[in-house]
Amino acid sequence: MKDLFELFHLMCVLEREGKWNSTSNNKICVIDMDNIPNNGQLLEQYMMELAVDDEEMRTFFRDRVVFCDTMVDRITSQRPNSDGMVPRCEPTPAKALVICDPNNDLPRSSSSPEKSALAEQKGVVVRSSLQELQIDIALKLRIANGTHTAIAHTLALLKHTLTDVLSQLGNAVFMRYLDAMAEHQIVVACSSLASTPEKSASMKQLAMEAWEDWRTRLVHPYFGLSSFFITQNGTAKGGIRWGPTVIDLVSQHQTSIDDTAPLQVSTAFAYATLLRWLTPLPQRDVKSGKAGVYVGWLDGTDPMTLSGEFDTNGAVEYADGMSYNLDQGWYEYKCPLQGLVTKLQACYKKQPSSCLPAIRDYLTNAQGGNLTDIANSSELDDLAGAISVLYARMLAGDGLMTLLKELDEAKLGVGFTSPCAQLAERPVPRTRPLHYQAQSIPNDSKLMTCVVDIESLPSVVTSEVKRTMAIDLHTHLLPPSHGTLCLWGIDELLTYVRICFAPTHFVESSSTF
Amino acid sequence: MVESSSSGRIDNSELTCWLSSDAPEALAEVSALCFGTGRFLRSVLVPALVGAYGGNKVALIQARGCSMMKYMASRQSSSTPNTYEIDTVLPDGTIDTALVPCCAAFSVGTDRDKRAFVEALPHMKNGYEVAILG
Repeated sequence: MKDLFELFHLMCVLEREGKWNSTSNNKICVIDMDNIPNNGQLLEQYMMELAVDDEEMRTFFRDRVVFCDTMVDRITSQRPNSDGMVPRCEPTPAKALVICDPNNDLPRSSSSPEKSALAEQKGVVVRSSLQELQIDIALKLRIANGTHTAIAHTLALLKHTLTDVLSQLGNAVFMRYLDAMAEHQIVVACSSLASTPEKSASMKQLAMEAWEDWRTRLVHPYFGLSSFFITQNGTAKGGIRWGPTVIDLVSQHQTSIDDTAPLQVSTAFAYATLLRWLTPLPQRDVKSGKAGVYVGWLDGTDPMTLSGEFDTNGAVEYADGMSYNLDQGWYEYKCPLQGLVTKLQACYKKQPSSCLPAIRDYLTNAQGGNLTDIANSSELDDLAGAISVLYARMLAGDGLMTLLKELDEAKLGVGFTSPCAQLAERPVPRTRPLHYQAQSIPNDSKLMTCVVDIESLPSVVTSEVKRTMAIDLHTHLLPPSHGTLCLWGIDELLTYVRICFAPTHFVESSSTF
Repeated sequence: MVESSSSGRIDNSELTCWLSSDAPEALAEVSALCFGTGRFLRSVLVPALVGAYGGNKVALIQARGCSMMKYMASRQSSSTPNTYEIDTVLPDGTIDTALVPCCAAFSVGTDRDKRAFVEALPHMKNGYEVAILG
C-alpha cells in the first residue's frame, strides 16, 4: 500500500510541476480488486492516514481521486507449468466485477454516454448506490460462500479432493443437500435484505437467481477447487457465512404469524460437519505437533488406529503448513479456539446431550458461530439439539454418506427440509406431558453402541420413551358387533377404565365385563 | 536510461520495463494503470479495461519482482506479441485461450526498475482516466 501511496504522490507532484498534464477533468478512479467488503473506503482511509501530515496529498485525494467500492468474483487458478503467469479460470460469471459509482465518475461510454464504458463489458456491473453493492455482497456471501463452506468439509472428510465431484450424477445427493439449504434456508433469509417488506418477494427472486447462477458454477465438471483448501478458516466461516442466514430466519419467525419452524436439518447438517472437521483425534494431546495445528480423522477411518507418529510420505500439502493423507486417513487443520477443540475432543463416542455444551459454545462464540443475538431462543435450542444428534452420530462412526442418504430419503421421516425440532433431543419439562416422537436415530446407528454416561442418561431415557409407541385400548369403545364387550350408558361411563398392556393381558376392574 | 525490450532479443539482466512499442507515442495512449499484476486482476479487470478503452491503453505495474515484464518480453518472439494469455475452462472441458493486449509492464520492486517507471510516467501524456489496483 505504501507503494501505491508513492505512485499517487508521484502523480500529484508531476501535476503540480506541470510535467504531467491531464487532458481530462475526470477523476482518477481507483477500482480495488481485493475481495473484502468496503474495499474502496478502507483503501481511501489508509491513504489518508499515510497522508496525515501532507495537506497537499490529502487535497489531491479529496479532489482528484475516487476510491470505488467493489465486489469481485471469478474463480482463478493457474495453467500448469506456466510458472504462475497464465490464469486458468472458470467462465466469466454474471458479476465477476461489481463497481459502485454513485457519482458517475467512471469514464462514459462513447456509444451510450449515460453509462460507463466498463458497464458494457462482460461480467462487469456498475451500481449507482452503495446499498445495491451491499446487496450484491450479501447475496454472494450467503449463497455462494455459504454453500461452498456447507459442502467443503463434507467432501474433504469423504476424501473427495476436488469439488468437481458435484457434477457427477452418482453424487447427486450432495447437490440435493445444497439445494435444500439454499432454497429453503438461505434464499428465504435473504428476503430480509429488502429495504421494505413490499420488496421482499423481489429480493427472494434475486437471491434465487444468484443461487441458480452459482449452482451452475458449482457443478462445472472440469473446474473443481480443492475441497481441503476451502475448509480453511472454517471456524470463522461458520459465523460469517451462515450466521446472517440463521439470525434472519429466526427474526422472521419471531415477527411472523406463521408458526413454521425456521431452522431446518440441512443447516444443522452443515454445522455438524464443520464441528466434525474441527474435532481432533480423541487419544492425542491437542497441544502436540505444530503450533496451532490439530489432526483429525477422515470418514471411514478408525481414529484409534492413528495413535502413533504419522508417516508423512504420501501426505499432500493443501495449505500453508497443513497436509492430509488419504491412505492413512488423517488431515491437519487450524482452529483459533483451543478451548473449543478440547471440548470437541471430549465428545468422542458420547451421546448427543453430552455434546451440547461444546456445540453451544461454538454457536455463541463471536469467533465461531456468532449467534449470540439468539442465544436464549428456542430456535437456537432446536438447532443445537439437531446438530448434537448428527454430530454425535458422526463421532460414533456413522458414515457421512449414510447420514446424507438417510436425510435425502427421509427414511425415518426426517429430511433436509424437516424442522430441527424433529431431530433434536430436547428435555421435557416435568409439568408437560410426554408426547410420542418418531424415532430419528436408526437402530443400527453406531450411536446405539456408545456408552450412556450418567449426565446423558436423562436425555437418552426421555428420547427412548418418547419413541416408544404405547397402545391404550378402551374396551367400552368396541361396537355392538362385539356383543357384551360393547359397553354403553351412564353406568359404564362411570366405571373404571380397562387398559390393555399386551394382547392377552387384561387388568381386572371392579366393573362388569 | 530506460532499458526496455519490445523485441525478441532479451537480456533479462538489463530489463527494467517492457513496452509494446519503442515508439514514444505508445505510452501517450495509456489511460489505465494496473497497480498489481496478479492472475485475478489480469483475468477480470484488464480484459474489461481493454474492452472499454482498448488494448493499447493498459499498463501493468508489478509491486514486487519483475516476472510480468519478463513474461511479456518473452512473448515478443511468439506469434502473438504484446499480449498475455488467459485460459477459460468451458463446461465441455475445452479450454478457450484468450489473448489480452497491453501496452507496457513495469515494476517498482527495485530502485532501478522504479526509476524506469518514474521516467516513463510523464510520457503518458493523456493522463489517467482510470487507475486500477490489484
